[in-house]
This record gives sequence, C-alpha cells and structure tokens, in this order.
Amino acid sequence: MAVPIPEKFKDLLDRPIVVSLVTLMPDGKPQATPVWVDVKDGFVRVNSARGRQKDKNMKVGSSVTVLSIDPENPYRWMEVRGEVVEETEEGAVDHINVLSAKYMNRPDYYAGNEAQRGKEQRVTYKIEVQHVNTSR
Amino acid sequence: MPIKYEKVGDEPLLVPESYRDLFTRPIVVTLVTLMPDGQPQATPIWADYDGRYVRVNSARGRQKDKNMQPGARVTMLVIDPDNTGRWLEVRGHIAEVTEEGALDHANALSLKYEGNADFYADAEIAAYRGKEQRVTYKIDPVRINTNS
Repeated sequence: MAVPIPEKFKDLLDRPIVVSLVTLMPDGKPQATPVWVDVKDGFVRVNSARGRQKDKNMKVGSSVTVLSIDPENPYRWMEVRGEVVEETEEGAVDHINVLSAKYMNRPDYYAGNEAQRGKEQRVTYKIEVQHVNTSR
Repeated sequence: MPIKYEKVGDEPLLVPESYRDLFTRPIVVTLVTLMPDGQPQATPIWADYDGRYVRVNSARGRQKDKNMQPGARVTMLVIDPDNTGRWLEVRGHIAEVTEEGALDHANALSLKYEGNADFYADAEIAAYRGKEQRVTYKIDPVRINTNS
C-alpha cells in the first residue's frame, strides 16, 4: 500500500541530492548506485537507459530502496522502500532533462554527454512508496 | 569511467589505492543489508577500511545486527561529496562479526567522523554508555565497482 512521503523530509528528494538507489540482482544480491531522483504525484521517479543493470533490475514489481542523506547534515536522512509500479520510455528523455536541470542546471541532458545523444533509450521508473524510515 | 573488480579464488579483493581516501575521509556511507524477507534496507553509517576488510560498527539487537550475520550479503556505496560522479560500490559478505575491540572501533570511528575519541560523548547517545554491546562487522569484498 502506498504511504505518503513525510513533509518534514521531502526536501531530501526535492533538493539536488544524489541518492543511493538499491536494486536487487537476479540472484538477490543488492546493487547500490548513485542516481538523480524526483517526486511526481507521490511517486519517486528515477531514470536510466535500456539494457543497463539497473534497467534489468527494475521491472514492474521489483523491490527497490532509496536512501537520501542530507549533505549539510549527514545525521538527517530518509530511506524509502517501495516497488516499481511503472517503467516507461514515454517522456523519459523529457524526464532526464528535468533531472539534468535540477542537478546540473543544464536542461539538455545530452549537452554534457554528446556521444550518447540518440544512442540510448531512456526509461523512467515510477516507484510506489511503501515504507519510509527517517532520522529523528 | 566505470571500472569493475571481481574476487578471483581465495585472493583477497582489495579496495583500489586510488579510492581509499573514500574510507579515510569522514564520509557517511550507504550500507545495504537484506531483511529476512529479502527486501533491501539502506542506512547511513560510519565505515573504515583495515587494508583487507571494510568495517562497520553497530550494536547487538539492532536490525542491522540481525541482518549482518556471518555470510550475509551486504553492499556499500560511498559517494565522494566533493564530486558525486566519483564513487565506490563494494559488494561482499560478512566475513566476521566480533564484540572484541568493537568499542575501540566505535571510538576510532567517532574520532574520524566527530573528532572525538569517545563514542558516547555525543549527547544523543550518552544514555547508551555501558548499556549496549558494540559489534564490529568485517565485510569481505567480492566485487567492487568504481566510477570517476
């Protein structure tokens, strides 16, 4: 069941903080990678490209966990556990551009990564929040 | 550029020299353990590297403690706060769980992260002094991913 993201800690997903995304490898081993993230309509969204390990690990129904630690105060943090409820290529380039604007101040993601332009299929993953742990 | 390292046979897999600063600097890392139902739990934690094992410290009875029995799979992600494109992921298993020297270890981490060699000096945890059993967990890396 979906749970809300606590107001008091929502900034940890709204500010340009690189978060840890944990997915599970097919053998159940956790993989952790730094990712950009945002929140839309209560869902946590991340973006990757087809064929990457993260993509393979984030099928609909997959368990994922996101940890955001406040860079200004590492004792302030939020862990979000949830499930991938949608993965879509539709609007995924727009989404990576939104994230690029948020994190890099560069609304064209590929402006910093010309070699990849047109060579990969971006994907947006929508995560339903099921459990939230925060620092005090 | 991403680089992958994998453990081969019994040869220890060491953290590359060029990334060891991520363990000497006071960077709060992400530790991932698995809940009994297989769901990943991610928590911020202090960590260090003893030249062979990546080490973390917790206390008996906590969820992390329950999830870090010998042999348990764990994953750690350390992101350079000065350059988030530079990071180190260590995947491994718990090679050793020990109470011996665990308080000294907590104190060493406290010195590194807080500049105070007394772990319980912090007001928020002072109440736990003498009331909990600290534990050191040694993580044996089986795979290391780096990026810079």
